[in-house]
Amino acid sequence: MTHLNETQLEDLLAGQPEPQAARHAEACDACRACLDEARATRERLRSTFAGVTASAALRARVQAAMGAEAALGRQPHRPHMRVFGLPVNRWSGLAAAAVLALAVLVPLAMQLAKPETALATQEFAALHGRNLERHAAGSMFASEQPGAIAEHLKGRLGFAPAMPADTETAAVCACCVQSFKGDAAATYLVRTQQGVLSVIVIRDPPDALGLPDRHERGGKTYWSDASAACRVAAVRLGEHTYCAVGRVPVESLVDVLAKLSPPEQ
Amino acid sequence: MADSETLRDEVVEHLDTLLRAALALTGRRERAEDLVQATALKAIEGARTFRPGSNVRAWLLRILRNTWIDEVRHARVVGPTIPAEEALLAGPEEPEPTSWSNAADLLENFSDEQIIGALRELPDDQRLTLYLTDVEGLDHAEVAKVLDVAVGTIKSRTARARTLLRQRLHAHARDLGFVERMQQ
Repeated sequence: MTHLNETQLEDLLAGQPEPQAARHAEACDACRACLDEARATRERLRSTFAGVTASAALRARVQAAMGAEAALGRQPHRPHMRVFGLPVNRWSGLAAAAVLALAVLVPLAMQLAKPETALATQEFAALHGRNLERHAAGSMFASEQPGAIAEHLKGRLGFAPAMPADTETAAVCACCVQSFKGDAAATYLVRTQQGVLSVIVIRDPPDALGLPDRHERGGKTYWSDASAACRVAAVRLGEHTYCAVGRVPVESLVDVLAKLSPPEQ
Repeated sequence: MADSETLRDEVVEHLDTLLRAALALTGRRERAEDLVQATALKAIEGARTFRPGSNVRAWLLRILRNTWIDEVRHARVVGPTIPAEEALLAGPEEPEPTSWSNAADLLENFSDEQIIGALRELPDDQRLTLYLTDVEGLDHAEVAKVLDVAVGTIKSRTARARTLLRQRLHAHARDLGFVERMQQ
């Protein structure tokens, strides 16, 4: 018999060998060495991943996100009564998301959250992740025209948020409405040379977000948090706070915020 | 179709498995956590496609794998959210054949991060196949169901992935001087 092929070796490793292959393995030093190497690799892989478990923070984050998703429950073909541009069932969903966020994330912030990373930063990172995931799934409103994005969000929330003025360096590509602390938040994706980031528009003032760093630029105050891989910068424009979120340097986030054209009044 | 609450409980129950699989795919803890969250959301969105009584773990792993593929494709379209090197589904190069006389000893020289790094050098489907077979201990038929390929393909893919991983590690061992040290 020639040496064992890949399939026979795999069957042996899985403990389901053909009798002939098992006999060969007993007699053949070369095949036994192959099996020993494969077993050693398998054991090393197992030990590598043995200590990998989901942290309490991840469990809470996933549970909150799933709760919000379940509460928002998409029913795109059914006509809805709308309040301030949002379907009524969405408002109840957002309220449920708010309860979940308060019930899960606030205690987490007090007990488990890393002290160096603001809770808001973690929430913004989660929203940004959802934006990317939804954009990939084609479930965001997509347009490369800032005017179309602003108009779409105005139809949903009653106001047109500020948009990047320089589309050469910051090109919008999609938008949607998400929930931040139970409130509807306009959000859109911006493509820059450094990467894709989300701009999230919220009512909370920036100084209430717990972002640790603060600096002045062009007469405006910017708050930021660079402690996590997904960084955040925020600035107040009119009645809203604009938060740029992404895995890019804070300076790039501030660049995008600094070039937002004022919202329509 | 499972009710949403039951499904959420199932997802939470399998978070460790999902996180490990995500780490095998992404190679980075933070990206793995993002992938797990995206997978959980897709599971809730796709609750109607889940049949109670069927294999939840396999269903979730399949969603995770598809989410990762979508993310890599998306990164190619919208830009470098994922570093370019991560987005590449590189095919295997042809490394030199290797033979280990003391495989277990050699493997112990590597840190867990180095093992995960070497795993990341394998093509996506190879490393997920190897991960599901060797780490999660799924049988070949279960892995075939997750990845939607024939059982025979899984067997040969697992063997090739393991060989490729050993070759990568051997190359790193040479670079790091482990081989020479062990031969002295």
